[in-house]
Amino acid sequence: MQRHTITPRENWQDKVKEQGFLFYDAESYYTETAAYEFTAAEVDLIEAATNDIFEKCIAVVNHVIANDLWDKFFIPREYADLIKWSWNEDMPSFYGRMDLAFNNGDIKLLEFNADTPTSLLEASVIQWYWLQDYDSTLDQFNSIHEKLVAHMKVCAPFLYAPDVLTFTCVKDNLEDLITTKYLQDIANQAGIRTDFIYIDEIGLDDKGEFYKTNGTPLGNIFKLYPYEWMFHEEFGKYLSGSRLSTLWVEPAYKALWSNKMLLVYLHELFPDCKYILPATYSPEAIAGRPGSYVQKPVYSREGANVKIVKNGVVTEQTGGDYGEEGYVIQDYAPLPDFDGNHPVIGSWLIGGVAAGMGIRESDGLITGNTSRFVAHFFK
Amino acid sequence: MKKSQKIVLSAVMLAAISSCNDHHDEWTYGKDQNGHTHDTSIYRNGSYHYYRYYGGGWFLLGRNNMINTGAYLPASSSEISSPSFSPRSASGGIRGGGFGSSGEGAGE
Repeated sequence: MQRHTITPRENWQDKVKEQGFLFYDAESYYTETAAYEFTAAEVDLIEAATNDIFEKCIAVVNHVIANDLWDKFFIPREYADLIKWSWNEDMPSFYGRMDLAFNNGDIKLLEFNADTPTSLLEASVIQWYWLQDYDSTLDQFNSIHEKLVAHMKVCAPFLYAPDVLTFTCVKDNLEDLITTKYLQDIANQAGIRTDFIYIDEIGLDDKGEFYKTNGTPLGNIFKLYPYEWMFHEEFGKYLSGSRLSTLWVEPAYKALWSNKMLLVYLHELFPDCKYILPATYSPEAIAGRPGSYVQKPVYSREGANVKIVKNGVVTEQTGGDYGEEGYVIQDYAPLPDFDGNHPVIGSWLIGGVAAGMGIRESDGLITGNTSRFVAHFFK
Repeated sequence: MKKSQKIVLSAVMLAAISSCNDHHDEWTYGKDQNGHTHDTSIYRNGSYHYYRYYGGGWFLLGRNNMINTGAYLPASSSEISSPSFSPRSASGGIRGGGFGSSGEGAGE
């Protein structure tokens, strides 16, 4: 893995905007002044690690269900049946993104953004078009777009009636909107009839069934909105009772994978796996813990409320409003340092299969919403 | 080969790009005849909810500082003060607003 300083394309801002990347300049999120080079062997390692870790994530869900570990994951008991049902019925899932530390061929899972991952358009479309201009003879670990189209075609027959897939996200967030619209566009290309409403426009009738507020039943909903929030909102309690009339993508079992307790149980079940960092949940584990570790809230987003401790000294931390459920302690995995730039691999899974990667780099060691997306290629 | 062979963005995405660039909006600010707005806040379930008075009732105020008078019916002062209040849909019988109150950006 190497980081190259490169010359941005002429009019690159116009090009990425034409491709839908309208939030490229938010806090300097996208840069064409650098690109990462990998070898084919390195890409093979990342692909294999992603698929291997995913198999282990499946084992964790089976373990949680078999042992009724809902309290350990801070998931309200009333959602256990819904999660079990979505797992046992193998309800459709489109995508997920594992964040990996990649350092001299050593790969470690940092977390699994399984429910509401973004940076999708950048990884799938923007960096691919960049590569065509930069050097189209080079290769890129990226078949995200094709795999999404193909996988949605597989999922289409399983949609409920009426067979319209309604996409939804929060208002006033351009990144979420564009990510959702990109997925809607792909669904259209896969032959699925689609619609779009904002999340607060989802309606409910007196029987607890989901409708658009104009009275149209919502048979299928893709939501870029996390279950950990839905479970605590007013309509959450209707998710289970309406599960045979409204199909939700991503499925409810994603509440387990997007939860940092996943890291604890991956380590518990697979302590010798080379991709899994030691991790624990215990307030006692924090006080006086030797060595270097990362403290992450059970529920947190965009790197919020994360603390890095090296030999008892806090070297970096972020603010935020998370941490109510406590913290997971994960061994520290050093990120590569390219002149102060620290890249994290976002390894995409489409339909449960490794499909490509996007790289976000930060000045510090915590990758959050101020990190930069940087393209990659391999030879 | 691991790279994409062909990536095509179709109508939905192009419409979204166009819409975002043009900043079209269907909402209204809900000003009175003097150009003023009348807002109130209600503390409920651990957070503040903001409403704007317009056309004889209160509408939930969006983060864009506008109200959606097409999708929802106006509510009375006592209704919005109720702990269980949810905006009523203009279509009747279906209420909205039960999801979406937890955060402004859900992707990660």
